[in-house]
Amino acid sequence: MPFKDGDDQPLDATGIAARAAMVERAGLDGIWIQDSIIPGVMRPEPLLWLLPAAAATTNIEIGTSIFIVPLRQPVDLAQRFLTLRALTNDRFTAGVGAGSTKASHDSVGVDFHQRFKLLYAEMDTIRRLCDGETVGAANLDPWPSVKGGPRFVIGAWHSEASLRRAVTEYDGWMCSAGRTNLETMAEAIKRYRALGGKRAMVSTCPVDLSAPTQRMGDDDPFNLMCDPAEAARRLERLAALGFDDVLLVKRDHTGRTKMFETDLDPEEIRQIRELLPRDETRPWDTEREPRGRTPVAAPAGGGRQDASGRHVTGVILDADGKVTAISGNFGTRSRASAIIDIQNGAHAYHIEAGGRRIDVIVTQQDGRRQLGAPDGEDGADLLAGLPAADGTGAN
Amino acid sequence: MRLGMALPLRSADGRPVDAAGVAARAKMIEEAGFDGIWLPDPLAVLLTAGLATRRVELGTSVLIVPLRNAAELAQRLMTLHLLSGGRFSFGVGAGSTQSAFAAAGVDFDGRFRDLHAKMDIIRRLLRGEQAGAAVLSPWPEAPPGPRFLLGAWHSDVSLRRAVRDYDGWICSGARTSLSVFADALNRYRDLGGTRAVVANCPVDLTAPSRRLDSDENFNLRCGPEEAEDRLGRLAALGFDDVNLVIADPLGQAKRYEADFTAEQLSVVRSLVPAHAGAHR
Repeated sequence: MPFKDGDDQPLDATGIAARAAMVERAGLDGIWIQDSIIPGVMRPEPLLWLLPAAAATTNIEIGTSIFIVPLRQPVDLAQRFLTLRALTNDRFTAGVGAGSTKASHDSVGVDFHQRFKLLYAEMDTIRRLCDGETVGAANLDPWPSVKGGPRFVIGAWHSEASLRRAVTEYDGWMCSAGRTNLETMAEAIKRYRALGGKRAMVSTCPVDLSAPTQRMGDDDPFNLMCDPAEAARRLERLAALGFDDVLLVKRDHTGRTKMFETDLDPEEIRQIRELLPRDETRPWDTEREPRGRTPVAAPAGGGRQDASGRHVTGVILDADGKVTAISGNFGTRSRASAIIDIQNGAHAYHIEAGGRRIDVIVTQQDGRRQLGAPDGEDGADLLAGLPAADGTGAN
Repeated sequence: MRLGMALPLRSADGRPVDAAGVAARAKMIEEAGFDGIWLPDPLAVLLTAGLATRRVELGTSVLIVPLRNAAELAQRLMTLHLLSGGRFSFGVGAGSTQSAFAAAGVDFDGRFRDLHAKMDIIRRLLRGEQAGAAVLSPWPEAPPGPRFLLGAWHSDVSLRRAVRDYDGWICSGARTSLSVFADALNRYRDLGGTRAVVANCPVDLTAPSRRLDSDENFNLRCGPEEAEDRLGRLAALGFDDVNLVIADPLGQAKRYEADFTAEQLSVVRSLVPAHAGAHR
């Protein structure tokens, strides 16, 4: 959703409503907005800006991609999230993150270097308040219809810690197209799935179907700045990787208007809709799974040895305190790391040896181990060769 | 005297109102001829009411500023101002409920200093000036404003501040008597004060009528004729606005949770002659 119209005038409520209705009519699945407080750039507050869009639509998702939690007071924010869920009849999804532009944190006087710590601590507070718990002196007593708050999706990079958190504590994981590429997305979604991750989203993907098509390598930032046929191919590759959602942002390849300020064109929206088959399922149609809580942080001193002598850097517990996944560095001769999903018996590894990085995925099916590896690598050989602390193979 | 009405957050059957419910009630208030829709919070509900209406003023009575971060709140107020076409008036206050401060981890004793410091930052940011590391750069096309009113008791310090720094003064209609109103309004006017608003005045026209003593807390828990008289006494003092909140006759519903009907609204509206002037 842009902030300005074609004449570079800021949108008013009627303008937002008209564009939201157009997006829904064209058959797209959601309306998303980003968030920042950057000196010298006027940016409206996204949770309020989305309301005219919500009021003008009936059956599409409304969300943030992403909303910077550490810039806000958590009790106040929990109340705002509950309110938005109530006012959108559960169509609101909060994509949340720590923020990456220091000027935003400076603006509200928050320590940029503490942003991840703040995000995790504040999201824990927010979730507890949304669940109706008392946190400190606060208790929001949520109405039963909004208890639990909105769906929470975490916007994060591809570190194991982030992915693990997305799986256990969130309803999904969102990575930014603008700052990543097909190669890293392929690698990250595999690890996410191996951990049991559900909804996977690509956000902030620039689109301009009238842009001259340029070759996009697998290590170039992912974008749809190309002709429709090429755009369809690129989206097909994202879909083949298993992503559930891609969130587009209109960009003007001539550079006349800025990103987030470039207006939508009804004809182009229709063209965009044709690029990939429709998915009529809505996130609020399926019942939500209970979210896990408070993963145990990596042990002090950078890790510990587990029973078989492996170096464990992280453990994830579910709501009942049962271990569901562990991760760590499992190699000595070459660098290897693995994530093991205990409940589903799945393993994901990557090995770095001889300047090469190799991915392996191991899943359990009917008691038998199934191996998968990208691009024709022989998974069985890779696994057999995987070094481990006990010297018998990492599994 | 202008007449404002609070939005109920629950419907008559006890269910929380959704966006369509908020919109329907906001329209009812506007169609009945009220001048404004007022709530302390949440801002998103007030904006939803604003999207369903065209004319009425949208106001907070009052928003507790110390519980929020100044720059972040300024961005929200600026957004509301834009999206409502300049119809917002922000009543702001220091707050009086200690538990709300404990919940937010904010120092209760420093709340007045905090309010004034944060309002100074908010005003500077909305003018496009820098405050600390923040600059919001409001779009030049934005309507001028928004209006700020100071929600406060009756100390000379507060009244002077309302005159000097604000577009008006809001006093609570729930815990103040007519004689206190009269004294405070006189002092406010002597200081050069302009807009004077009585907020959160409970109304229940099914309650038995009796004459209200000038030392009793002001309320409209009485029959329509007596209510008309009480409002007349408030208007005679010189107040510009009175904002009402429907009170549940059985006393079961919490404040802002008792629903109203269009008929009730029309009776309440008829208690005060229609005001010709729009909000400033």
